[in-house]
Amino acid sequence: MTEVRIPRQARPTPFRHIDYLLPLLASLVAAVGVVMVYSATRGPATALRPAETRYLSRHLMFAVAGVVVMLVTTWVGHRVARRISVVLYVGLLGLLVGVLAAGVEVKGARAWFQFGGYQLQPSEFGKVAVIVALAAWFGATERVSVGRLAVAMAMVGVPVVLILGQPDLGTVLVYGAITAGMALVAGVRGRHLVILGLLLVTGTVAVLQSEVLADYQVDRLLVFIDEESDSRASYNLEQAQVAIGNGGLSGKGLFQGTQNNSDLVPEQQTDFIFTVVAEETGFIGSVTVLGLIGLLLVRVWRIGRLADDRFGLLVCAGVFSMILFQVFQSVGMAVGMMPITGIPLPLVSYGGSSVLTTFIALGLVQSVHMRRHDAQYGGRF
Amino acid sequence: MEDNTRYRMRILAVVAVSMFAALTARLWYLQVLTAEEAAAVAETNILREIRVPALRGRILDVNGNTLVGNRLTTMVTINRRELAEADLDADARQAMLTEIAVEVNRTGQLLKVSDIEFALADPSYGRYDDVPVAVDVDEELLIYFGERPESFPGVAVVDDTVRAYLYGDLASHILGWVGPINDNEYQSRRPPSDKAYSLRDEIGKAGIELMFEDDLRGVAGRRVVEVDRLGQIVREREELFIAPIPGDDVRLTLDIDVQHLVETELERTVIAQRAVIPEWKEGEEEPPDFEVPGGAVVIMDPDDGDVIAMASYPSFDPNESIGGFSRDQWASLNDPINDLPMLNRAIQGEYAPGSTFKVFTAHAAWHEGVFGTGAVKPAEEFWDDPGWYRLQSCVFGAEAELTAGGCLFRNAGSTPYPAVDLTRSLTVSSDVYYYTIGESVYINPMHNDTAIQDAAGAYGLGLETGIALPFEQDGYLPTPAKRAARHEANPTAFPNGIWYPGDNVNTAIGQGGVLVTPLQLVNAFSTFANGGTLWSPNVAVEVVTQDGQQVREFGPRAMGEVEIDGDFRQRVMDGLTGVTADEEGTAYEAFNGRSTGGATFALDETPVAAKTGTAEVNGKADTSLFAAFGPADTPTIAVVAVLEEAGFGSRVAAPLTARLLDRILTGTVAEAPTAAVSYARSAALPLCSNWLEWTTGDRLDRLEGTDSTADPKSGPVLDVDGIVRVRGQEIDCRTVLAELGDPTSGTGATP
Repeated sequence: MTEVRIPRQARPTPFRHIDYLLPLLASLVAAVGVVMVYSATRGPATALRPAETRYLSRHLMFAVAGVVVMLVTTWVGHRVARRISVVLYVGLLGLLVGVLAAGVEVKGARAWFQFGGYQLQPSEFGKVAVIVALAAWFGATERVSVGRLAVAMAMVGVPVVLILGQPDLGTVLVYGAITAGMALVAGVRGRHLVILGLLLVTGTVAVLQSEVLADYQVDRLLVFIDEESDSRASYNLEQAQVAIGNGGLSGKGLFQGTQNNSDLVPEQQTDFIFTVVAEETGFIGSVTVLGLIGLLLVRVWRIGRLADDRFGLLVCAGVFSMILFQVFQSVGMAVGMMPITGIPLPLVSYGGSSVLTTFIALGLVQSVHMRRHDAQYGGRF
Repeated sequence: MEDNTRYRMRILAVVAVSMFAALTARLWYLQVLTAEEAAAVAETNILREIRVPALRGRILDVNGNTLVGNRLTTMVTINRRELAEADLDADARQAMLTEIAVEVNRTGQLLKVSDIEFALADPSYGRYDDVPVAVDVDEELLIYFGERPESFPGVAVVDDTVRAYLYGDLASHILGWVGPINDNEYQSRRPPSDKAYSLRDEIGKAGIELMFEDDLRGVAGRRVVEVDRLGQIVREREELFIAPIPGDDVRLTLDIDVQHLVETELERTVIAQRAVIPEWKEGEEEPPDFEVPGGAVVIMDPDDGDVIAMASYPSFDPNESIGGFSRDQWASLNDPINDLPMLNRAIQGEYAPGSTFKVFTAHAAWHEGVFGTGAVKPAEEFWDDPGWYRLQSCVFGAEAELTAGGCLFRNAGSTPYPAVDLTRSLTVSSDVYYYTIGESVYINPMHNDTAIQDAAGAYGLGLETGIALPFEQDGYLPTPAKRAARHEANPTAFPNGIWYPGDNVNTAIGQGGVLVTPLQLVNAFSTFANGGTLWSPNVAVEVVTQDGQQVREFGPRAMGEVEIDGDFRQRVMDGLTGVTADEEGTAYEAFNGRSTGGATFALDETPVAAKTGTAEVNGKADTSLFAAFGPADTPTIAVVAVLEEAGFGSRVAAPLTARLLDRILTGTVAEAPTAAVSYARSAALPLCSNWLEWTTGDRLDRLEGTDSTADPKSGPVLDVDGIVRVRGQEIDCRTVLAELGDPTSGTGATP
C-alpha cells in the first residue's frame, strides 16, 4: 500500500485513528456469544414448551449496551481514566466492602449487588479499575523499583482479599494474571518475578488450607489433580469433555447438541459456555471462535506496541493479560486442561458485568490507539 | 519505544501463542482423535429406554361380546424409595397416610390407612417402585397431591391402563384375574422370548387370564427419551420408538347371556333353599340344616364338548383385583366362613354323584353281561323292589355288618317300587335295582370286579377332563386295588385296606367314596347323549390377533369313544326321559308346573332326558344333583347342577335346571347386563318406584321440581318420562319395573 495519508491539520481529530478491526472483532465474538447463550438456555423447544428466550434477550441487551459503553469509554479516553485512577480504585474498594455487607449470595458467593431484576458484580468492573490503577502506578516511572513493586502488590492485594472473602477464587486468579502480565511488561526484573511466583504459590496453598474457600471450590480444584476425588465435580469435568468430543470435527449443528439440550453440563451459559460452542460447531467452530478472540488479542497487543506512553502500553498489557487468561482458563477448564473454577469466557459467557467490563476495557484500548498521535496536536485530547 | 519493552511484549505474545496452541491441540485431541468414543458415551449418557407395556388381549364370549377389556384409570401410587428417604417418624407417616386416605375417600373411594399399609407391604413390589394404593380415584387428586409434594413424599397420581371385567362377577371363575408377577412366577414361568417379564408386570393369576397368559400378553414396546442430568425427560427420540404389540384376543365358548341366566338362577336357588327347613318326623333324629354353602352349574354342547356356561356359587368380582386386592377383600375371599368364593366348584368341587351315577352302573351291567345272571334279572324283566336289599354275601352276618355298614341297604325312605325294569329303575330311581347289580358284579366270578368303575372311567368320571382352566380336580373312583394301595401307603390315615361287597353296592349308586366334579358329570352325560364320544371340554374357541387373524383354533378333541349298545341306549333314554315326563319320574314336578319352583315344559315338543341325584354326606344335608340333556332325541344342551347341603336332587337342582332349560331350549335367554348397567339399574330402582307412584297416583306434580340437567356423575337423575340417568347410562323405568314383576326373565339386577 502506497497510500499517503495527509493529516487534516485544520481540524485535527483523534477519531481519524480509530482501529476499526478492534470493535468489529469484539462485536463478532459478542454476537457468537449471544447465539451460544441462546443455545445453552433455550431448552428443548417443543410444541408444548416454546424455546426459552429470557436469557437471550437479557444477554442481547447487555451486548448492545456493551458496544455503547465501549464507544463512550473510547470517547472519554484513557487519559481521563488515568487522571481519575485513584477515584476508580477507591471506589472499587468501597464497592467490594459494600458487596460483602449488602450483596446477595448466589451459589455460595456473596459477589453481587441486586438492582431490581439485575445483578451487578463489582469484582468484574474492578478488573478495569485495577488495570488503570496499576498502569498509572507502574507507568509513573521508567523503572520499577522493589518498593514500587511492593506497593503495587499491596494495591492488588487489598481487593483480592476482599474478593476471597466472597469467596470467588476465579476472579482472584484473573486479578493475579492481570498483575503478572502488567508487571512483566512494566519491566519488573526477572528474579523479582520469580519471587512473586513463589509467593503466589504459597498464597494459593494457604488459601486452600484455610477455610476461606467453600468446600465445593476446593473439591473442584482438587479434581484437576485427582480425578477420583469428588464424583460430583469430576462428573462435571467428564460431561464437559464428552460434550466437546461429541461435537467432532464439524459439530452437531446449532441447537442440535444433545448433551447441551439434555442439560448434562452444568453452568452452561456461563463458565462452561465453550462446551456449547464445541459441541454444536465442532472443532472447526471452536477454532474459529478461538481465532476471532486471538485476532482481537493481536489487535490489543499491536495497539500496546503503538502506544505513545507507558500508561497506554500498560493498559493494553493489562487488558491483553485479562482476556488471555480468561480465555485460557475458561476453555482450558472445559477441555480438561485447567482446574474447574468459574471464569466467564470474555464476550461470550452470559453475564452483564463480564460483558460490560470487557467492552469497557476494549474501549480504553481503542482510546490508546486513537490518541497515540496526541503529542502532534499538543496533547489536547 | 525502547527495546526492553518490545522484548517484554514479545514474551507476552509467546505466552499467548503457546496457550492458544495448547488449547487447539487439546481440542484436536478431543474433537477429532477421540471424538468417536465421546459420541458413544454421549448417546448412552442421555438416552433412557422406557418400556411401553402392551395392551392385554381381550376375552370375548362366543358371540364376540367383550367380557374382559382394558380401561384407563387414575390411581394413587406411593414411591417406596422416596417415602423411605423422607424419613418420617411413625406419627408423621401415620398422619400422612391418614391424610391420603381422607383425600381419596373425599372423592368417593373407600380407602383405609390399613389398606395403604397393606399395599405398601406387597412383596411383589421392589424398593424403588411406585406401589398403587388406590385406583379409580378422581383426577382432582392429581392437583391436590401434585401441589403438595413436600407434604406427600413419593405420592403420585398417575393414569394407567388396567383390566376391565365388564360383566362384574359374571363368569369370574372362568375369566380369572390378573396381578403383579411374584417371585415364584418370575422364576418359574418360561414366556416366549419377546414377552419376557420384568418385575411388577401383570400376569394372569387364575382362569383364562392364567391359562392363556402367553396369548393375552402383548409384546412390550419401547420409548427412547433423552434425559437431563436429573433424569428428567427432555425430548423423545421418535425414530427409536418401537410400538407395543397388543396381546391376542381369546374367544370363549361361553355365552355370556346364558352365563348370566345360570348365575342368577343358581344364586336365587341357593338363597331360597337356605330358607327351607328340612322335613323330619317326630322321634327321628333332627336332620342337618340346608346350609347350601355353594353350588355349581355347567352347561355343555354334547356334540363337541363346548362349555356354554359354567357357574360356581359364591363368586367374586375380579375388578377388585385391580391395583391389588385390599387386605380385607383378600382375607374375606380366602376365609372358609365365606364358602371360598374363589373356588371354582364346577372343576374343583368333588361330589358324590349319587343316583346320577346309575346310568354308568347300568352301562357296566349291560356291557359286562350282568343282566340275567345270578340275582340280577334280565333288563326287560319287571320285578318288585321291596324298598330294601339284603346282601347275598351276608352269610357270615356279623363280620360284614361291622365292616361295610351292615347287611341291609335301603331305598331313600325305604320306598318300595313295584314292577321295575332297567328303564323304570332310572325313572323312579330304584336303589335296590342297582344294589343288586353292584353286589353281583363283585361276587360273581364271571364278571370283572371293577366293571362299574371301568365304565365310569370310560365316560371320563374320576379323571381330569383336560379343560383349559387351572387347578382342575380329578375326582375319585374307589377300587379294591386303590383301597389296598392307599392303606399300604398310609395305614394310619386309611386303616381299612379291604374291599367288601358292600363297598361295591355303594359304588353302584354313586356313593361310598365315588367323587366327581360337576364338569366330569356333565361331560359323562354328554358322552351318553352324543352316542359315545368323550370330548375334552372346550372353553376357548380361538385366539385372534387384533387384526382379526386367527392364531389358533380349538376344535373338539375326543378323549375316547364309549361303545354303547343301541338297545341299551334306547332303554336308558326312555328311562331318563321318563324322569321328567312320567308322572312317577323323580323330576316330573320340576318340569311340570311352577309350584315346586320349576317350569312348565312343552316336553312333547322338546323331551328332556335327566337324572336326579341325592348324595349323602356324613353329618351334613344331602348334595342335590341333577343331570339333564335335551332335546332327548337330538341333544344340543347338557346340564349338570350340583348344590351342596341342599337336600333332594328332585327338589332343588331339578327345578333349577328346569328353569334354565325352559329359557335355553326355547331361545328366550335375555341379554346379560354389563356391570355398569346392573349398577345403574339398582341405582335407578328407588327412583323408579317413586316414578311409579307419581305416574299411577296423582303426584305427577312433584316431578316438576326434578332437575334433569343435573350432573349424571353425581347420582341418578329421573326425568318425567321415567328415564333415569346414572353414570352415563340411561335406564328406562319400565324395564326395571317389568323385571321386578317377573324375576325369571333373567335380566334382574344382580343383588
